[in-house]
Amino acid sequence: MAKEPDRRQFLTITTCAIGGGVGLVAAVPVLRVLSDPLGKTTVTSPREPFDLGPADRFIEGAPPRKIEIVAPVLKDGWSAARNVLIGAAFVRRTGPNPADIDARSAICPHLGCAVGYDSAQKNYLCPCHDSRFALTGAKLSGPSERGLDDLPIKLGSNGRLALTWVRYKLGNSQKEPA
Amino acid sequence: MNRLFEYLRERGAIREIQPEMVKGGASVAYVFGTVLVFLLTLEALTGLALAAFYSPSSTDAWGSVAYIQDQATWGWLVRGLHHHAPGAIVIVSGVHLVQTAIAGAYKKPRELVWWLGILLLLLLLAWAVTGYVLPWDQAGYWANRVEVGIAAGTPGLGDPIKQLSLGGNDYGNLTLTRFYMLHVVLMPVAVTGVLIGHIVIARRHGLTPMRPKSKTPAVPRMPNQRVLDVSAMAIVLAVLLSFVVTQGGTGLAAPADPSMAYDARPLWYFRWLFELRELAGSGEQIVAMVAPALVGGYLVAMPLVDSRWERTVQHRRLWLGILAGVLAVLAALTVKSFSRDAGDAEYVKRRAEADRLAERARAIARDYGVPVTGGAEIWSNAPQGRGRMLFAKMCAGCHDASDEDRKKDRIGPIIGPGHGNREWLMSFLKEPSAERFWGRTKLVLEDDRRETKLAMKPITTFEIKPDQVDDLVEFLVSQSGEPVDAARAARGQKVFEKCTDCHSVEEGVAEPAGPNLFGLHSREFYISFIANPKLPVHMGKDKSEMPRFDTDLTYADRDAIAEYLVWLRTATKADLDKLGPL
Repeated sequence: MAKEPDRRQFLTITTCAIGGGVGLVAAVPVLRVLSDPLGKTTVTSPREPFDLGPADRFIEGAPPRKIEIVAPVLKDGWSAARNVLIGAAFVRRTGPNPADIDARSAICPHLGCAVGYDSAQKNYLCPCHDSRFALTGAKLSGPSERGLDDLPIKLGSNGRLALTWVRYKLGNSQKEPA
Repeated sequence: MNRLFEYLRERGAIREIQPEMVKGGASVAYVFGTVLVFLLTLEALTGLALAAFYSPSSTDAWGSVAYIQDQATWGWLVRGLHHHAPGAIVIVSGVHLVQTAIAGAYKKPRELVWWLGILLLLLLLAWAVTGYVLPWDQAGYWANRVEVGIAAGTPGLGDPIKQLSLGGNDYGNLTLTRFYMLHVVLMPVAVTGVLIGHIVIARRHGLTPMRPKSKTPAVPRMPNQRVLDVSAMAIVLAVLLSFVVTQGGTGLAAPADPSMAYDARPLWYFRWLFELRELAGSGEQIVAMVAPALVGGYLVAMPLVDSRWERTVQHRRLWLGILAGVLAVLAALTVKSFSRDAGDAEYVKRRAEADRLAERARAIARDYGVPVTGGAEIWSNAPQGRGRMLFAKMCAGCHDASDEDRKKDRIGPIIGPGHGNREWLMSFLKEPSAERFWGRTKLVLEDDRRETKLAMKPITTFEIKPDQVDDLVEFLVSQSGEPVDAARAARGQKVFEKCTDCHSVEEGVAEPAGPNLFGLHSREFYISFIANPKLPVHMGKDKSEMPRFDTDLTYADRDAIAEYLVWLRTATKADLDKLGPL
């Protein structure tokens, strides 16, 4: 028969081993479920371009028009909703031709606040950290690393403008789709 | 390592801990309390993971649980564990309780430990009730209605109890936020508090030795008893895991739907009470309140009635006998309840149908998402779901020929896959009075008794050549907005001039003899036709038996049906079958 201290040590190790195993088996499924969102698209983003109507609705020299981006169908986790407001863009005619058009995401590239148009100073201002952007989107002042992101916008053969909504990564000096 | 422990011990002002001793040696008999703590910890862990997904609102609850169940990796496993571990807790608690009773361990001075244990058992059962409603599926919703109904039967306090349980006058968002609060905040705190009391007091008294006269010396709990404890945990976890895996987790019924009947059944550990109510008939309300009170009351009374110092079983036959009797009755009722259901063919059929609905709802949730208006509207998110449902409800009685009963009862033209397409128009023009078209309507049935015929004559009776009929069909198809061969449609328009005595294709022009065909089979046409087929531009009041639906169906409803009908035009039976049953 083994000596008592040896036996006790053996039992202690066995207890810790079984206990550890039980804890591990119980914890693994829980951790797996909690890490489920990693790399998963849980909220969809519309890929189809939005019709902004005839290009001549935008006039050269007029202040930028704020366009609300409404997703026709938005899957958000378990739910699917129609016509969900997901963001905004500023669209502005830049020249005499209908194709001279500029679209900027209203998301501040610094930390993602919604940028507003300052009609007094004729430029954009982010209310969170006072980043200012020129009408062209170029950064004027403030902590943002880059200017306002331009969005793909195209003049179709039917004379209508089509805007594509893209979200970009925040905080970088170069824009990069998120 | 030792220095770290020493540091913490000193800084934490922790006194040297005396190893706790187990009187009479370690025993498998002592593992059950520890296993219960383990199972409760497992509930806390799995509950934590579920809470990261769950949304307590009447529109989102079902969808969020369906998401955990079918879309989150291993979600079904975690949810299955969380659902079935309480069953294990009930079983192990039962063993723990019976064992304590047999050992007479509730006797002076340990009454308080026993009573706190009984309180814990009650709290655990109530905890399960607060959780069962959270998925907001048919099973939980209807079971909860019954449970709250029982509680609301409390004399004098019924109404406040109901209002407080539901968070108001009826089931809704506030019901879920309330039960969620109870389930994840109040019950955990209450159970933890009582549990600490139960354990601390039990430890102070020490165990009641199994064999009081045994000479076996006391051993330290760690590791002698602990090795048995963790082994028991491992076994329980292994059994629970294999059960959950073989069951594929736990079920999720179709979304709660107050308009849809459902065979509500409580969790299995409440089945005895359910069966008792069935047996009690009209006295069910009283039985539902009194029976648990009697069982609980006896458990509470045990230390008081069995109060002599004698702890051997032989001297306590009466009291243990009553306990055994009570448990036997509970077990028998539980078995009876399940066997009653299994032997009820109608119930089994309804259950199978409910399971089919649940499966379908979950498939739609997985593929198309849950509507923001709530789980009960899930069917409308399937492709053509809303239109098909409305069609099945409002139109199929007269227009559907997809099964034998329907074939027999049909009194209108068949509407099915291909309705209104080229082949359909061609057949219709050739023989409008055919069985599948006007054959069963008064247009044909009454024509025998009339001089001026109501139904259109076959196209062959007009002076139109066969290839001209093809052109005419192309022209009629063009009315629906479907792409057509423009040249042929133009020729068809010329041919149509032979039809203009009875029909117009000018918007809004009503010809007394026949319907206006402007936009024939287009979505707008259907929306208007369904609203009121007796309008002069449609069939007119003499020619249509179909009732107007603008009073029963909203514009959106009619639009959904119209969308479905337009879809049907280009669909085949295989396409329709592919959508699956409603």
